[in-house]
Amino acid sequence: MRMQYDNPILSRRAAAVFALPTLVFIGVFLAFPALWAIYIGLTNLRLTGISAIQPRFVGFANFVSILRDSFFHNSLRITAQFVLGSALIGQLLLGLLLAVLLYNVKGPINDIVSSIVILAWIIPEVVVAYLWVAFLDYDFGLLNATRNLLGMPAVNWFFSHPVLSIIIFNTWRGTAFSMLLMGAALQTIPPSFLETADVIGASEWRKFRDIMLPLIRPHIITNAVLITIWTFNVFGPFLLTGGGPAFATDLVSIYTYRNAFKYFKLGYGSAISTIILAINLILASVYMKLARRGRA
Amino acid sequence: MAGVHLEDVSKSFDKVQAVCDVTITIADGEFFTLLGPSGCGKTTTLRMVAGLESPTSGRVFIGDRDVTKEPPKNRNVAMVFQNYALYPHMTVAENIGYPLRIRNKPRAQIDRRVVDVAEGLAIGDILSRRPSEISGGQQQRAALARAIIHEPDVFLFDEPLSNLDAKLRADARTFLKDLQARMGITTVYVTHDQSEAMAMSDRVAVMDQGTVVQIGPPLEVYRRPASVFVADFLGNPSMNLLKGNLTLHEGTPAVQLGAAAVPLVQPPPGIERVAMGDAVTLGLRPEDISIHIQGGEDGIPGEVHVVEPLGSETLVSLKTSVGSVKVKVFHDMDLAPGDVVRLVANPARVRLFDRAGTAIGLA
Amino acid sequence: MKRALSVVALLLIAALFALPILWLVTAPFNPKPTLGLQLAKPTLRNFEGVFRNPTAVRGLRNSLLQAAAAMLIATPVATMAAYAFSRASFPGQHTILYFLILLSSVVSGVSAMVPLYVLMQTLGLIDKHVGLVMVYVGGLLPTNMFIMKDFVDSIPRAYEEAALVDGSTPRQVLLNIAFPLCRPGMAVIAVLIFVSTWSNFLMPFILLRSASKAPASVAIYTFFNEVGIPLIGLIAAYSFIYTLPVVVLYLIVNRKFGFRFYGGIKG
Repeated sequence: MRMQYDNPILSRRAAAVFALPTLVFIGVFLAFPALWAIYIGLTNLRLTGISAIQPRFVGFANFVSILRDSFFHNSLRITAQFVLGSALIGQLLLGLLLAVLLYNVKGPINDIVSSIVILAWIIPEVVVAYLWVAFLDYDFGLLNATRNLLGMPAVNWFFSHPVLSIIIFNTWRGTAFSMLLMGAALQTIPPSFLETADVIGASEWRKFRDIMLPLIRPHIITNAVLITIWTFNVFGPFLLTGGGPAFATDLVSIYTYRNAFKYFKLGYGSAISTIILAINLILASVYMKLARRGRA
Repeated sequence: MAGVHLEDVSKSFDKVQAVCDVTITIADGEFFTLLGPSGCGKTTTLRMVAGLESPTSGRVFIGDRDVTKEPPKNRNVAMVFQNYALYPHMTVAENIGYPLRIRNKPRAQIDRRVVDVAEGLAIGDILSRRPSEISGGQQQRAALARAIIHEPDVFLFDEPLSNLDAKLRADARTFLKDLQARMGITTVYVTHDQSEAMAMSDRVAVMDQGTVVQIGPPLEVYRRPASVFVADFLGNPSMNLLKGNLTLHEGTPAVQLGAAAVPLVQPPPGIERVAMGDAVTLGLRPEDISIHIQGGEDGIPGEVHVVEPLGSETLVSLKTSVGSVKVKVFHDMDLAPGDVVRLVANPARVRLFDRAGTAIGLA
Repeated sequence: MKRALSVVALLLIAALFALPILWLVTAPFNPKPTLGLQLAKPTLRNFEGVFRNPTAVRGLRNSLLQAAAAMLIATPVATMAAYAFSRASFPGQHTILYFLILLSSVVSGVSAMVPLYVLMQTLGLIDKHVGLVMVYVGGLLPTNMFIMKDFVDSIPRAYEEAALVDGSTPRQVLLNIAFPLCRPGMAVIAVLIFVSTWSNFLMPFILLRSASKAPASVAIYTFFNEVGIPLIGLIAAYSFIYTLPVVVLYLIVNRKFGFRFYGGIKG
């Protein structure tokens, strides 16, 4: 029985006292809001007016109207494209490519390249937004300036390719994590595995396909799930496009914000939050299952 | 100064029984070793003496005092850990002086004692360094210095030499044995290395699966192992264990090994409890077998398989009808793989185990 | 050959990653900055503009205040819990840890912004520094507690045990041994907490109202002239100043502890 087990370093009572503040903070400001979202989602709570003071219980009315809202369908479709493009294709593939290339190249070039990619990851969100507004600007932006130099016409990126713009933006923003995680995974491969392949005379591609890839596959899958959750919950593109033009980049996160805080429909917004939480829960459960299997 | 006494001590973690009904009495000033394979419960036993684990049942005494419920700080013991546990944020001097510092001794007195102890252990010149800046051997001595500075009643060692390389380990072993003998402090020493246990201890307790299977002076345990487990665990290479049956050979008890019979010249007391024809195991140390090249009738026939000259001795592996046998040869012999020889046991050193693996004639 | 190809590919990718950042290191020093990239004689005039602008200065001060407060609360709180979860064992421990991991990935800023707003409104903490800081602490605790727990797990228990056998009381073990050993890990999570709070936009955007309390991330959206034209010089220099501490702290952590192991911090 564990009951009987005492710990000379930290008594169970002391441990409880130590853990308590964390559990209270998390309970009040993280767990409780998540549960409360479900309740508020069942009311017609508004930011202003009579329903702000005396919200009425409306059952599943909010959920029904969300599922019928064509704007919500639009957001879901855009979000799916965004996650697929920027997380699973962009960040994952580019991160893996960078990690493999960096594995072969050590020294200052390694430091410089990884620093630049990490820089894109750590610059504050609002600054990143300005950088991309400037970079993609129709009249002055560096991208169009470069195209002009090469004799190509300028493009109004946010209008002509809104989803692609935020996909590229978010890939640029988030690749560092995949690069670091894949890099750490590659470091766990004993060098003798690859040296053995060298001795046999395996090509670079065969070495990657037959040795590296199978050995880091669990890490790739874990990484894929993690960045899917994060990309799904990204708010940054709001700073770039505000969801426009004409709802073309209206991600679920922006849709939530718009309904709750611009249209003042807190109950409705909460119901969307509940849906987001449910999707997150599914993704996180997959992650936990993978993490458990990894440890066993 | 005080002895240590464990009385029916048991410890379980969750559902795992780590230590089971251990009773040991260690005399004042004795060098006592807990020896066994990993997971046998030796470290848990030591930690219960230190007060780092509390027994599920049973009692622990240091001197006359029942310390079962006392926290470590009230036991006046000192412990050297496998990784030395030198605090990385303190200098060597601060590490050594720490036990005195928390006893609120005056600064000047601490400094003097630290220098004395450090010089006694030949590490006086590294006192201002950090643990990460000194060698493994120096770390081991610094840990030792921290253990002896407050003159504990009992020393506890948890595999203190296992992080040293082979040459350093032999030196440290000699040094430690001499230090303990000079200071005369009761010592409980945990190791899985039988040569360490043999070389240093006054007495050894061999443990297996949480229980003590044999206690005695090292040579006694080596020569007269109480069970097949002890016979197999101690010695390098370990004792040859040959399965046979008890028979009568020309009127005296003997062990029938295939076609050959090994007579028991000095039958152990208690042999009566084994019925004729019963399965027994014959135990023979590699150094207690001699190889006869000339033909003859006595002994077990065998064929030389591998010959390994080791300098001071030669290790010969042979195939026999009852399994493979290892023999240590101390004089030059011209042996090559394939040679057919006869193996003759030193009758005074034959050890006999019953069907359950317990030695016959324990005493 | 293989190395040369790798180097070329790497430099190409790095150049693509660097392009958008170029504006951040040129525009702030340009006397007449635009959204484009031009070379001109460098000037510090834009920075003077920042320090003459009360909103800009107040934004930085608010960011500092909020980030420092979150850091000073969350670091010790996370460390204590991490130590408890690492060193003690109590019933339900694994279940609690499991739910904390789950919670930290399920409840994001986006998924909780509406209920957090309603909660803060109910508690009367809308437009208060305290409310924002509490939300930061709650949100950052799980991840940083786990980073810290990994760190404490990597410290052998033998240190504390040796101190106990040497004669220390549990309190002395905590103060003399455990706390100094935890300090490097605490420094890392303190930096992580500071940086993520300093950079956050969504929470102050939703939970604060008055311009006087807005941190830099929100204040930067007020830099327009009377007719709504963005003050690019001000924005560029402000972005530079606002980014600087993040980069410096990253460099320090990277040099002292290596960043790689703490890769899982974003979110």
